[in-house]
Amino acid sequence: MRRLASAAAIVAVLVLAACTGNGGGKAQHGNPGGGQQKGGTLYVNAARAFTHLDPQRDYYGDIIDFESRTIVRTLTTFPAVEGAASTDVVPDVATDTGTRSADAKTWTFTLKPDVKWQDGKPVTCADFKYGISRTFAQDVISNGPSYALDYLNIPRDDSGQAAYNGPYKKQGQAAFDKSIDCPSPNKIVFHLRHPVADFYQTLTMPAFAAVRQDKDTGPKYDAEVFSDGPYMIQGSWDLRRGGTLVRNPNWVPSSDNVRKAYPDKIVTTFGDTAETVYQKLEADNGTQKNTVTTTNGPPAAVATVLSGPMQGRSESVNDGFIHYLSVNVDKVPNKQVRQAIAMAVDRTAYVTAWGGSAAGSPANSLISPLLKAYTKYDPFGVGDKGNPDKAKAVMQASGVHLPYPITFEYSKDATQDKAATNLKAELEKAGFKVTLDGLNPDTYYDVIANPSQTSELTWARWASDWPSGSTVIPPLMDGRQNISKTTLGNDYAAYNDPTTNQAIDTALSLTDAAAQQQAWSALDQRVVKDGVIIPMMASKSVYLYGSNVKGFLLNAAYGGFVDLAVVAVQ
Amino acid sequence: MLAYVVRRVIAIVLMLFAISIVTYLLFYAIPGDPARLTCGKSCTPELISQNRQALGLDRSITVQYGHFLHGLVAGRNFPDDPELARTHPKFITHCDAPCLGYSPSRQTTVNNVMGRAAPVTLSLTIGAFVLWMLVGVGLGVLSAVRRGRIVDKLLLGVTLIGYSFPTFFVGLVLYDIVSVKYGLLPSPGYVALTQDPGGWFSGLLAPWITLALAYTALYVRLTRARMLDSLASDYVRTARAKGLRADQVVLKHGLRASLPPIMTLAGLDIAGVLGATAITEQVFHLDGIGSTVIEAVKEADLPIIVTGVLIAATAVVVLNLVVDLLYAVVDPKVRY
Repeated sequence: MRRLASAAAIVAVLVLAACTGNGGGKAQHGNPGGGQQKGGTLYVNAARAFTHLDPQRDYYGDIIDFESRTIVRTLTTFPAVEGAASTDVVPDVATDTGTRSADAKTWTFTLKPDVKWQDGKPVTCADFKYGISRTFAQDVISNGPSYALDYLNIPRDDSGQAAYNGPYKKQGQAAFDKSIDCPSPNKIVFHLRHPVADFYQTLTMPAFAAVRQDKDTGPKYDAEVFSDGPYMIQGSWDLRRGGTLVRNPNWVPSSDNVRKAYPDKIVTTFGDTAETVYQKLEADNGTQKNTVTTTNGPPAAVATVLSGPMQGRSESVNDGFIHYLSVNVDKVPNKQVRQAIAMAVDRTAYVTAWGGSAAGSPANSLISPLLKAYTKYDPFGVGDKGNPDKAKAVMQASGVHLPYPITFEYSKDATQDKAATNLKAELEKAGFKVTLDGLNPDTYYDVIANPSQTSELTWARWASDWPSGSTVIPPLMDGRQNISKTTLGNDYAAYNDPTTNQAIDTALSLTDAAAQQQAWSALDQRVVKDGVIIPMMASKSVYLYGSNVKGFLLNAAYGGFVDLAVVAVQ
Repeated sequence: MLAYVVRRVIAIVLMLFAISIVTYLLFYAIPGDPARLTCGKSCTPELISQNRQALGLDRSITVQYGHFLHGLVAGRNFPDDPELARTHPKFITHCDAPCLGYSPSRQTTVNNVMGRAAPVTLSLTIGAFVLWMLVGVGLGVLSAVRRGRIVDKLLLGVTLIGYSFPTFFVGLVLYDIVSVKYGLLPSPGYVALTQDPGGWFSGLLAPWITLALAYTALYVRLTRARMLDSLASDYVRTARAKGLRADQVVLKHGLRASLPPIMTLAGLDIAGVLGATAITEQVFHLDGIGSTVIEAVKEADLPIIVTGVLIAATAVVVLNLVVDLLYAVVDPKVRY
């Protein structure tokens, strides 16, 4: 999934190591029913504009969270609770989390009767089917997640793509119609191409939300989303500056067990810098008292907001991102050399460089500790601090010429420069000769995905799309779906291992969810033990909010953004 | 005179063509793939090429430039997809001539984007211009009249400081400290003049001061120097000897003679400012032409970049022409 979008968003959480990084936040927050009342206006101020509001085009955690809680309902969704419990999917428009066939290739859901569009018409199977079909019109509905293209049982064309080009041009419409079946208006049946044991989690994404065909305005729908949630857009939505949401009079509260919809009105504004967003929140004047933000605290703010007078209205959260290093297997074919790099790195120094315990904690796996697929392990027995001496012994035993030259590419800023300098010192102690190459953050991922520009060692970070190893291991480690002549995709290690690929296929075909998560963990350990992936840090985000905001909750399942389902201003 | 104007206008149009061609060429010379930006995280080479086609970027630069020119005179449809236009006419955005293009990142026509941005930049520029002319020339006159006294010395010192501070510094101080933290100036922002004149004025006050500060300092010094020249001239002495009132001597004889060179410079400066409001707009989060173009550069949004460059270039060449013509008006010796 989710890379953080822009360079601005990829700002390090630079904090004092001494700060209180109380992992999942404070107990008195996020307690729905803790005296919140309906009414008032909530302001959402964000540095980065919401790039797409069209549910089928929206692929960033902050926007997914925002619209899932206000104007877009999905068959299933994440509960508005703290910590890892937020990843336990609950029904939303559907009456339960679905019934699956034994092979996990057919999924059936029943829709609640009183879920209504903003004009009072009921939300039906046909609306979900139409909404999902829009993903296939990639020429018009660009940028969104493409899981539907892969999962739905539609014949493939010569290039291996689904032979359907969406509801506008309708080539292959008959094939698509067979993949989603509407036996009655309140029943929907998905026919999948291969088993997807966590499909009920996939359906939490707005990309699988309903869109009413007569309200679809194609490329213009971004500004005109027709709501089936508790709020609706007042007038029109400005993609750059946001807009105002008011109550949807046809939303039936009893049909919704997640969204409390406390504020009468939600006003969003975009365009301040992250620093200004926090300065305004710190000043806490006027409407700022009723303001929350989807922009995490910039380095300067984090140090001040987690302690002192603002402590009571700030919170930190495990945001689900894992920072990791990839060792390119084409450029470093010797496994022992790769393992030596993994042994030499000091994760505690890395975390300190990023701001200490408020910024994150050392990570040992590519899969976030928030997910059920997570296992704690220490493959090389060197702990979080690493052991350059042991690494050097491995290097000497491997028979390569020392010092071994490598280049480390990273997305350049002051924080990363510091972390990279530490890394260079650790690796040089272990017998490497390290060249640091800090790259422009705006084009960073394009450069390291380019086979002719990438280097031995690269930095990256990733968070799952839904809380399953299925959105970590295959998108990052399956060489077949990532690597072509011109790009490495997300597989910066150029790793294309037949055994791993086969194990991915096996894991994807598992119908038992628990067994599948174990399989992801095993694959995680495999790539880490091979020295292909070196996990560094499970990151945290810090947020400040206005003094009048009640029930503030950061939802880890969406990447740790504020959960508008339960936030109130009265 | 008329022939001269016609000649100049033809030259201006040709120059704008040349500028637009150069902008197109430069855009394709820099790295970054606009089609890649329209494609999500789960991007495949097939999707990129599909989107490149949808954006019309698969065609050669000359064809794309041809479409741009055609749109200027005949208007265009976006996406330019006859099949979609037939089946889903309401998906198509029509852009009337003169069509400047369609912004993929903002999903609207450039005419709409610039139509919204232009009033902001114009309000900012004109307001700042009025401010620096009134204050700059006024204080310049005062300084010249009080030459050598404490007011004069104070003004010379203060203007040196004002001239030395960069715009972004003054802007950040006014925004973060004066407006946001202490609320001494009204909160900056743009409201249309027609919608709320009071809000328009108070929202733009801090940006005006920011933009005008350096120019004010410059014009104080310029006016002072010109005024000292003219106040020392024979006709001013004659006017004084005639017994004319002091204020009339200064304004009617001293200032008037000083104005032509100031006006000339002002014409050029206002054009320069129009193309250089970007920093002020960014600091105060105003959606003017400058900040729009900066965002467009980050997003490889060619139609907006081309239009932004053309607007800035047009402002400079047109105001240059106006200044040249004003010469003929103020100075009878100049003939075209």
